[in-house]
Amino acid sequence: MGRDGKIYIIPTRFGFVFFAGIVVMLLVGATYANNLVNMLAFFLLAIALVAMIQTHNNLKNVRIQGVSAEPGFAGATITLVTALENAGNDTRFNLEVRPRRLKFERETENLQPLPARSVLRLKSAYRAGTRGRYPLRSLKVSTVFPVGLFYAWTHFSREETYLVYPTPKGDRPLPETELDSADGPRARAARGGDDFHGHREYRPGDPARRIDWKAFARGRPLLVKEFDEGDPAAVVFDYDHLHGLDREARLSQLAAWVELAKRQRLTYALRLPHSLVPARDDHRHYERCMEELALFPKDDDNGRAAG
Amino acid sequence: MAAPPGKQIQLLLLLVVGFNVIPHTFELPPWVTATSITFLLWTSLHLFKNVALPPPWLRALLVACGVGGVFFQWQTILGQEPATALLVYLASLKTLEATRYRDAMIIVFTSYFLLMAHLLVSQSLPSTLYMGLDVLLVTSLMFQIHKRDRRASARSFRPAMRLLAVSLPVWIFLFVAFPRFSTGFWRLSAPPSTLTGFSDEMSPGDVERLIGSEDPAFRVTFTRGRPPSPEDMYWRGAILHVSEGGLRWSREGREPKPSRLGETARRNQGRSVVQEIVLEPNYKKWLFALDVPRDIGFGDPVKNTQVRRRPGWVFETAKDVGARVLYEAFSSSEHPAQSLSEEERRAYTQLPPDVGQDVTELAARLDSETDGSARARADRVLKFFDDEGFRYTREPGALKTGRLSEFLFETKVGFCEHFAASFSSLMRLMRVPARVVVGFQGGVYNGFGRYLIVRNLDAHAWSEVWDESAGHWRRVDPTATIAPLRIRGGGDFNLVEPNQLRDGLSADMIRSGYGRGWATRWTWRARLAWDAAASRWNNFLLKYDFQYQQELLAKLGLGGASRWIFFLWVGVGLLLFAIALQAILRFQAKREDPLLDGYHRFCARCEAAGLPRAATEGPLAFARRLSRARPGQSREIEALTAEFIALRYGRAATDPGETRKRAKAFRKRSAAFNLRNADRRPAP
Repeated sequence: MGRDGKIYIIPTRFGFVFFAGIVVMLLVGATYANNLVNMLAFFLLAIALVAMIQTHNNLKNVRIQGVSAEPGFAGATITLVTALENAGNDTRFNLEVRPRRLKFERETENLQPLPARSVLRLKSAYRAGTRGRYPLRSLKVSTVFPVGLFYAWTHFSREETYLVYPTPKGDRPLPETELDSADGPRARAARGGDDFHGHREYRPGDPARRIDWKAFARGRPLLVKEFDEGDPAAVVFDYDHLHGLDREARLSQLAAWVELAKRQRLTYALRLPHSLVPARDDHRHYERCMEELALFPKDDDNGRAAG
Repeated sequence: MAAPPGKQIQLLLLLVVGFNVIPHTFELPPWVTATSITFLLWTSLHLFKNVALPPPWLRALLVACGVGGVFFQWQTILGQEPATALLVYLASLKTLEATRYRDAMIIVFTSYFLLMAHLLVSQSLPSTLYMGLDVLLVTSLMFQIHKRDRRASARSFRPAMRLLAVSLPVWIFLFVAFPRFSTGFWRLSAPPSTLTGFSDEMSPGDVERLIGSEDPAFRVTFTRGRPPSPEDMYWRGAILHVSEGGLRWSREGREPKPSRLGETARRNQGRSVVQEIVLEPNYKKWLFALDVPRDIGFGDPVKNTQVRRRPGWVFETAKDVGARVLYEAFSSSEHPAQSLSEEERRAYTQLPPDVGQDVTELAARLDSETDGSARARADRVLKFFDDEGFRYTREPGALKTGRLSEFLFETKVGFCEHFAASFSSLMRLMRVPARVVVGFQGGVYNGFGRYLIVRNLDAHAWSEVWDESAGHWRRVDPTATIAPLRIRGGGDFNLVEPNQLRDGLSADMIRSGYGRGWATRWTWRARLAWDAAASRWNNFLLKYDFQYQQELLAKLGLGGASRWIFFLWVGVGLLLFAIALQAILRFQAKREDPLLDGYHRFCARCEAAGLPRAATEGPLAFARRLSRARPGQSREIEALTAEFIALRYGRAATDPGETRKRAKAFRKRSAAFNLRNADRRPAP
């Protein structure tokens, strides 16, 4: 891979067919001593040559300003939002962004040309591989504009990574909340108890039973109690409780539960062998849980642990 | 990259296929045209009325039917016509399944081949214009497919226009410089079934009436020497030396071999009039030239090897002329002095035994009234035609017996072939060697292009008799005696007001509408102007071959080169083109965005002074940090940053020219900017 922003170009398969067609026309023109057919062949050849330059130019002064990757589930798609900048004087058309090793799935929104000296957000979906965090390393920006006879591309190295969550899969029922379960409080006490962690401001959607009514009565604003262990009313998805499944199946089951809990607006905590995501109600909670699951150490990359 | 074509593209595809099918509709068998139109209608119904498309099995069946039909019609699918028919059929069918990107591209490529198929059939000026339009259309379609922008603003078409505009000089360069191969001659498809005009055998007794078309047979430009007067413009084609019963003449049998002191010795004499002739395809072998042609040559040595010289100053080609050809003819005004071999003398006095008693007696009677010289005998026969009231008509009606005597003693009406045939027969009966020459006579002068148009209806036949005392052949045209207006007025003289012809006006003056309304005059002028433009174009297309290319390059000082040197030159030319383009692009890239360029310079200066801009740092944050680091320069830093932000993100100026000017000024200022080290103090 060469230097960033260097533009490479080759004919597409249609380009090769096109050139074969031109050769046929030249042969026909010579055989029949038909200068008009020659003329047509030269016209097409001229168009192809100029199109080659235009394809090349369509990538000139195109840069990537930034990339953000929206995580996705393994086997489904992840979405990359790329801010493409056109520093040139002409509109750019039909640009495609593709990370290395990722298969292009579909464009979710784009189809707009990129006008001169402007930035356009290009949103594309790619087929996600197995769970984990992967570096983007390099993004390929390519084009076949204007006539599809040539394919030009350029690479940009990027520092960003993308996350692939485990596939949510599994038919085990949701575990009961710790309050309801018999051994819940005891188990919690064994691990260090019901530690009050602190207060935070109430946000709509917080369960009423976690509001610190006493503090409210003292004239303070509506506060919500937070516990290290999370809410005692929370469901705890515990990796170790999923007996009889292998590691990936457990992760998938946990992912399915997290997904379900999110949809049903349940309060939940996630407990893995080496880490714990306490129940929180903020909007990052779901992503934190999923990230933990995605980065759960694999056998083959023990060295590269979570994070 | 490969987006399936949307409805707009599908409509364009339909349009393009329709446009490319049009010129073929009249050339192909009706069933191909009909099915093709049906498919196209079906597609348009689908696009506009949501009519269902045929299921895949039906499409496969239709493909099989098309291939089968073509094979049934021609017993092959190779060859120009069947291949064109198949292309038309399949391209129209393909519009019904233009759902994938690949389908769209296949239709694009097929369209180009349909265009080529049309150019093989017709190389006229209209076809050239059609080609230009079609390439424009198909290229725009390709552009539209790959643009992926539904909006069709004028701005979004700029690249397409630029593509075509830049292609133009490249195209001209390729056309001029790309090496041509001379592959000899015009290979051809089957001739059209209806051809009128010149014929190389004749049997005027069977002709009900003459139908001559106004289509040109050939066009002549006189390049050297004095062209003869219109009355003397005889265009020699072939010689009919075999009389088969008086009125029927043909070229059957062996041609008499000229003597050593005959034509061969005189080949290079008296080539006083040089003509450049563009012959329209007539699917015959004859190369016409002003009487008497001494030599005929093509610019191309390969083609020259195919010219055959026949006895009697006649030239033909090895293959039928199935495409327009251009050649040069060298003619003298008179037959050269020569000798006649015994074999020739025998052949040119041969007559069938059953000419008829009355005709033989007539010949003997006329002969007895002369002094025995060929000239006197010819004059006597012409006088006979005059005295007996022979009349010229283009509608003589077929003779009952078809015999010479019936024409000479009963009907006495006919056209040039009757007169030439009977005259030559009578001469032979008087033991004067004689033959019939077929070709053309006359022509329409086109002042716009300074050339002569010889039309199919100018086809003519005349006689040649051997003048023993002078020792050469002499042209005798009995038609000129019987109907001088035919010779002065051309083949369509009876359509052009014979009264005016008798008044002494020239045929061209009458045709151009002398004494008629302006509409007639202007129609005639417009026709000639169009013909001049079209024929100039044709000549260019014909002339620009390997030979001409070499001559042109020789004029440019690149001559004497072999074909491989040519290839080298084209390569060098294209390379130079690419280098020039690259240089222009570099220059443009530099110009491209002075604003960003300027800001990058500004950042580079700061980085050189030890304060690089962080990747995540916006211009404002960077400026704040710089100002803290260099309070002395903060005013300058902030002014530059403010200008940058105003130009890049704000609406500093609505006028793009003004913006550009300010951006350039900004670049200059940032190039002059330097971060001083003087008041450096630790960053907070």
